[in-house]
Amino acid sequence: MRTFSLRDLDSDFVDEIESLDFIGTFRDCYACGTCTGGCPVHRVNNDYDPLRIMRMLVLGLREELLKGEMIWLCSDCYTCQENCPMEVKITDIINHLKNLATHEDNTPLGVSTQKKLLMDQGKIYIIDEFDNKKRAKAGLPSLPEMAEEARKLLNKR
Amino acid sequence: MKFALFLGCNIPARLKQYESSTRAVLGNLGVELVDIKEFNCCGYPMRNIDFKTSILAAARNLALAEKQGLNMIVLCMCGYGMLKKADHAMKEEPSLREVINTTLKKEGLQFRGDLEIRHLLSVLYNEVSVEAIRQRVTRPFKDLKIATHYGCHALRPSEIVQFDDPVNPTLFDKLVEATGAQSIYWQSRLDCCGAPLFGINDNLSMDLAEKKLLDAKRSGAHYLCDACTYCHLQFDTVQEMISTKRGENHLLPAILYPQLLGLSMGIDERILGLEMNHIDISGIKGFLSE
Repeated sequence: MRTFSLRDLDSDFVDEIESLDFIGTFRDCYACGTCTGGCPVHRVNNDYDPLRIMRMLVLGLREELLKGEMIWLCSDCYTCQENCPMEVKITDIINHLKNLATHEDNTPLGVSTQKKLLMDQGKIYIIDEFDNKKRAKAGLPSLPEMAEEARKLLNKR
Repeated sequence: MKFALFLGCNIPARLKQYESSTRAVLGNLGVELVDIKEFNCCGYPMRNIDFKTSILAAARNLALAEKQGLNMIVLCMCGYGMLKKADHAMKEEPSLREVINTTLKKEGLQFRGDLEIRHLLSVLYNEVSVEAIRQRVTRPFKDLKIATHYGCHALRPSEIVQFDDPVNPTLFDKLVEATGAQSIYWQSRLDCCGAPLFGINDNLSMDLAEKKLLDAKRSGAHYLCDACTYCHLQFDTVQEMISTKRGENHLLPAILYPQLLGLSMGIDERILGLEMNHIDISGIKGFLSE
């Protein structure tokens, strides 16, 4: 087990996340463990533990959360959030932590690749001439190669 | 009954059988589909790294459907969850809605929030009805046991997606049983398929899929039935990968719901794209009554 010093705890980080409207409070978490008990990822790999993420957040272990691998093992299934007796938005919080981790250069390659594809094409897969021929053969309407207008719009933001 | 058909990125490129079987089945049931070719990515792949861009991508799709005065039908559950989330977030947070609409305005679009977003299964259950489906079933399945896989983002978070009871859903089971098949109980039926972890931690993703497939098989299922792009890629393409990499035999072949329904309606299997699945599902025809 790792030990932490009080200096590792970042209370500004806790306040900052709690101030976000779409997240609301998470200090109501009383560590009952319903999140971890129902987690399908935890059942196959107990390195992943949503209760630990919640406790790390309440303590303000910013670095540990944003630079570690744990948050990326969440499969986004929303079971913990659905089951939480205190209505803590656990999955939304973890997704927000993933957003923040990206700014710390902690993004799995598979995720950043999808972002690049989307920004370059407006969608993940290009539909080329060959695809459209196959689509026509299956009686399906042809589609544009990429979502050009969306690509422009996403890059304007 | 008319809907804008939202396919997402994967279906037109990698899962054409989901599209062709859906069109065939809905056509048979009198549901009219409108294609909007300007649709883009649903936004789901961006939720992890850039929340606002994911909402913008989703909102652009919603605005395009609204512009034509259409409600939307979505085939993928992750896409459905994302579009519902964006719709909900913009209704709850006026400041977010304003930011998004300012950007959409550059393309002459606007999110008003007066369209309905429906998943294929909820259109079939709530708009078409199980009774109307039964009337179209000409060759019901006999003695076929199906493990019905719901998919996470149709069920949760329930206050946003509003699909069915998140703890004890029955909607999909009833649709499966309308084809004459038996929808069996299996313990992990509401669990994640593992697809969102593919590309992040492939082994963990495969562990989740394998565990579910084993459970479904042990519970007596002949096939698994799904109605989501990512779940199906996981239970078909990735299951094949599990067989190759881990030396396991195919645990349980997966069939898309409109393929299952289409067969029981007597629709040509080529239109349903049965041969386009990676794992052979042709054996399921043996369960059709004469």
